[in-house]
Amino acid sequence: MKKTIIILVVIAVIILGWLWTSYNRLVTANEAVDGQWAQVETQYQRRFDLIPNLVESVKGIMAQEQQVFGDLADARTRYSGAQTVNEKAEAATQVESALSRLLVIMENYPELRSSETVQTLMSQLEGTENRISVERNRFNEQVKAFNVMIKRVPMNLIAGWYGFTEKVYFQAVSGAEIVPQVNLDLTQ
Amino acid sequence: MSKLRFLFFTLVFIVLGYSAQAYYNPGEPTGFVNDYVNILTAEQKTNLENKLSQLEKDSSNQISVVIINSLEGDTIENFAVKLFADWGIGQSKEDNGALLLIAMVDRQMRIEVGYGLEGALTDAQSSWIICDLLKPNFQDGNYYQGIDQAVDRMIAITRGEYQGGALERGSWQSLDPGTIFWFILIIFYLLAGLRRYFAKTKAWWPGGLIGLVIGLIIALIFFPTIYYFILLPIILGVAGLIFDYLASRVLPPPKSPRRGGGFWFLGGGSGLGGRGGGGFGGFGGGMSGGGGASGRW
Repeated sequence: MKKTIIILVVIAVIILGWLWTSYNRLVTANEAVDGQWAQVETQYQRRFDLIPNLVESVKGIMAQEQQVFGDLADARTRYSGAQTVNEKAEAATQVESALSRLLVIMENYPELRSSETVQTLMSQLEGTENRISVERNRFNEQVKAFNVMIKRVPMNLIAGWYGFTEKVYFQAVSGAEIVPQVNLDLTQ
Repeated sequence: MSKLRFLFFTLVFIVLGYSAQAYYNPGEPTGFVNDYVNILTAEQKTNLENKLSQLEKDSSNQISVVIINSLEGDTIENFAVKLFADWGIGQSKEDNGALLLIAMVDRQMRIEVGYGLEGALTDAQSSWIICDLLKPNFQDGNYYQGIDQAVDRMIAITRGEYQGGALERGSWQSLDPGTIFWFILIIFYLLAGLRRYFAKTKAWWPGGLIGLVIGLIIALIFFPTIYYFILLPIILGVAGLIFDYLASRVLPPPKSPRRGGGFWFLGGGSGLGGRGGGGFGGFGGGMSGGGGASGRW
């Protein structure tokens, strides 16, 4: 009789311990995703801090191109008003397309090429764009890790109890074409 | 206006998402300078290596120069950030590493800067190093001069960022023999105490139970995964059973503990530490987040 009680206690401890550690792992993975999104936002902010400088230094020469400057300003306003991750991602994508249009138009103004200020701003912007893409890529990797974790047996049973649901990948939306960025890289 | 065009393509690339995944690991780093194309002579390589290991000794900053043949269709930005993460250039907490990556066939170069050095080696600084030092020299075929000047400039810029950070390796490696000895001693005493306790009873199962519980606790604290959760209690439980069985049935009853005496050999022993001076001791596990600049020649 005593032995059965001991065995039952041991089994109970193992199950409780498993629930405990599973919960902690889910929390860790969840925080990793949130933390990585914060990294993405930091880089967005950095980009927004750079854009006014760039606009300021090319505005004089590109006087006829008010449209693209207006678009840029609109997208920035929308980003600062965005609340959820999805809204922010969408607004940031708008900024991107306005920015790339500005860059295309800038190609038509050879006098900008020789400007040291513009060149420096360009290298900063370049670095920022690359940082954004790196952090976003890592965000998607974290999301993938999290989603795989909560979908696998037996974690899928308890993830629901704890209230963890699948996370959405960062998907870049550009105009009409939508390219879902599902990370299918299985080599890592 | 190649820079503008480049930035434009970077943007397009971001919008469309990373699709190119052609990164390959060129191999394990053999030093700060890894020349997989052999454009540097042994002497030139040693010269650069000396400068960079001196920098690491002074400031714990790690700068790596990597020359590869081809990017195999990948972008240099993606390649650089992946390689940086694979090798872990810089110390793990400071992320104070930098990578100068040169792809010969693609005629591209990149300076990838770790998070911790972004304040000093800014994107603009990196871009100037590429445009003013690397590009003109490379166009003339003076690869070594370009790299040498770029490395000098990078050292000068980063020297101010992290000063005199002591070189600490992984925590397990820094366990000196003294600590390990004390650890073993404590376990020994624990076992001796347990043996005295177990020997009082003829029953041999409490040892198994205690082992099981200890296994569970260790698994909870140190290895919270399901595998350890099953494995550790089983192993320690069986070990506890055997130990209790030995203590209760096989071994003679223990004597009361002797006070004092023994352990004269405990003195000293903790005098290890400090790596052999100079040379390459591996990278420290630093990370980068896409800072830096790229260019072509």
